[in-house]
Amino acid sequence: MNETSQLPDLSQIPDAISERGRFSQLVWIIPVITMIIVASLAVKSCLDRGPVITITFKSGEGIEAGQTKIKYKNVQIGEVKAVTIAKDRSQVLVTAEIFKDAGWLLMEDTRFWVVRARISRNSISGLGTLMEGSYIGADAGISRQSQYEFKGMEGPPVIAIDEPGRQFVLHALAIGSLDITSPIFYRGIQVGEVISYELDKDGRGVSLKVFIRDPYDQHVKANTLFWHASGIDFTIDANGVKVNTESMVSILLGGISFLSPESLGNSQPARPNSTFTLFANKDEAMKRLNAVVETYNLVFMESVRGLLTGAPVDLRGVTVGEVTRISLDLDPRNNQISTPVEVQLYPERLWAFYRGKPQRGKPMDSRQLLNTLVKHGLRANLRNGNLLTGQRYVALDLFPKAMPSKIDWSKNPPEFPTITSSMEQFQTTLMKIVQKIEKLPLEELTDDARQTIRTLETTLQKIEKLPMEELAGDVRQTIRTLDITLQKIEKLIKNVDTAIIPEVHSTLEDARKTLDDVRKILGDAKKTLSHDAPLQQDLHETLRELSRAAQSLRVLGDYLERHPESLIRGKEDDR
Amino acid sequence: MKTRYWLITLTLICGLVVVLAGCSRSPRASFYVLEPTAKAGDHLPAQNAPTVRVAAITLPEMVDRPQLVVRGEGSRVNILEMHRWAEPLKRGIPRLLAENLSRLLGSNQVSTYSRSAVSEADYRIFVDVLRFEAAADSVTVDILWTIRRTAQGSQKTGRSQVNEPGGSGGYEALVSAYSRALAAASNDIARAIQAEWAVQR
Repeated sequence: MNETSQLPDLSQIPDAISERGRFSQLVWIIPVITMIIVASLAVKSCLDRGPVITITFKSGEGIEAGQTKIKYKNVQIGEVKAVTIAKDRSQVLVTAEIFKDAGWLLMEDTRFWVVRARISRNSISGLGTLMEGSYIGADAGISRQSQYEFKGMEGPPVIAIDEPGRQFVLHALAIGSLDITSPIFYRGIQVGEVISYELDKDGRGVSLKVFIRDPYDQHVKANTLFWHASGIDFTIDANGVKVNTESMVSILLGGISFLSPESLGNSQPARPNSTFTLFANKDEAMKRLNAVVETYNLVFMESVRGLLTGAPVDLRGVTVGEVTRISLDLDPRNNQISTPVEVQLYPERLWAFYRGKPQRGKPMDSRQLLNTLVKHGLRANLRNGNLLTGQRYVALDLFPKAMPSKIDWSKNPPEFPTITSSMEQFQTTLMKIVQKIEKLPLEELTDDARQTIRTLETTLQKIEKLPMEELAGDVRQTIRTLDITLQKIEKLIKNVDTAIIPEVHSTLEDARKTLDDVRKILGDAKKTLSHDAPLQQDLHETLRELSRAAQSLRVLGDYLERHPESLIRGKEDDR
Repeated sequence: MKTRYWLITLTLICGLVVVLAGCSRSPRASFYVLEPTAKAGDHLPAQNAPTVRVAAITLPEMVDRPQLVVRGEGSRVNILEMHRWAEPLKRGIPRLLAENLSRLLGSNQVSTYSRSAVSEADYRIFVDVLRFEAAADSVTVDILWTIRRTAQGSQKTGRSQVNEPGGSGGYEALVSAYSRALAAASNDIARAIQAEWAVQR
């Protein structure tokens, strides 16, 4: 190698090629990845975070941010994040976060309420919250429309949304003792509850929402009657004393009963939310059952004492109407006093029992029906319903022997024929007796008598023909046998006389001797015990000696007491 | 030694004297008995006389003792230790009454046997002596008597109060006054029995 060659041929030096751009590209990857991670985290957190909802309550009692839980069916589905006051100060806004997996519960009819310990007339609930603190309960809605702002309820809902059953609306004049959760009874079983009540807008009544549980809700028909079953219904009338009550619970808390009258046939189950009337009591309800009411006038020519308005009109025990008015009619022209009694008949009930079912769909004209019945003797009369209270009722019955009469349709209300009760009954009875006497087969009887006499005659003739002499012989023989028997008996008695009597005699003798001995012994005993017996004498004597000795002792004691010195000195002379 | 012997002898003699003094003789006591003094009546023949028992007698506790009891001044009473009844008054009075009645009724069937067994007697007499007291010179006898007819059970009651002066004969006179007083009472009883007996017959 030479020196010149020491200088590098610059031209020959290859240009350095910068690879700067490549490196810088690699560096930028790091922030990009970081950003991606951050973004994904943000998205994830965003996605993981459940929906935030706002619930408005009237008061924030028991709700604390970060502590109060939201529970559905006692499972936590979220937590309260903040409690604030609304801008208009009327409400409390509770902001809560719901877990993501529970987000589907938030529908537009989802309900929220604060669960705390509550004591009401018929229930105690939420006692557990005394220990754990209150929480917000939720009842998931069934709507498909989701929602994130809710109005909180003041109390727990009576019926969970998913509980099977139907709601109905009842209209009543007054709410009485009913309240939310008041029971609804069907044939004494509690089948539902009152959910809510509110005053009608016009203020003339009350609307109650009731819930009837499945499967009882199918018994609510279009013609179902609802009535207050509150308390005890106590009535005294011509039907006697009645005490009606549904159950002890209903006595204390009130309740509603319902029944679908069968007499009006089966009708379709009622639709949910259909409206019914709530009657004050069962009787009132049952009266409304009769859609068709016809008024008649019964003119009685006798005292109607004991008959009251409201008394039943009774057809062989079935109530088909009731008395609505009792008045007095003084007729100076005929010098008569009559008592028109206005009654309401429920012809529907008559149809229900009428066998010749009318043309389908359209019931038979009641006018025609009653005309037919009256023609056959249907009359109204007064009867004693209750002997104790003297109440009477109007009875409709068939009197086939009654004087022919008609319903006077020209009058308003139409006049229904009546019959005087006791006298008429007496007359008919008398008539019947006379008829029976008439019907007696007197001729046959005489024939029978004649035949009997004839038979007697033939019998006597037969007796005449009997072989009397033979019979007499038989009798004679019998008597002879009897004689022999008697003789034998006599012999027997003689035998007894001779053989048995002496023995008895000797036995008696022995007995007498024994008795004598006994008597002697007794005599001896008597002597021993008698007062003049030596023993007695001796005893007496001894007793006397004893008494004297006792007396001497007494005297001695007496003296010694007075003169103790006499033991040594002897007695002193009397001074 | 000799002096000691003498001492013993002296004490023995002294003791003997004391003992013998204790054995001094008691004064002699006098004993009295009630005497029947009634005169025999002759109203009734002996065979018709009733049989009578003096059945029971009660005495005041004060005089029911062997000694004679004499009232002193005021409410004081002297019990005379040396003047005694020869037999207890509870026996003596019935006996005396029986004796008197026997004489007065002329009946020899008057006894003092008190037992109810002897119920064959026509009459039983129950005597309740209310007072039997002696004062210095007189005696008082107050007797409530009941005559009971055995057969019918009917009864008659009477009372005899007799005050008999004793005179000055000392206690002997008092005792004979007692006898006379009891005789007077017996007379009452006998009369009552006779009246009753006459009616019964």
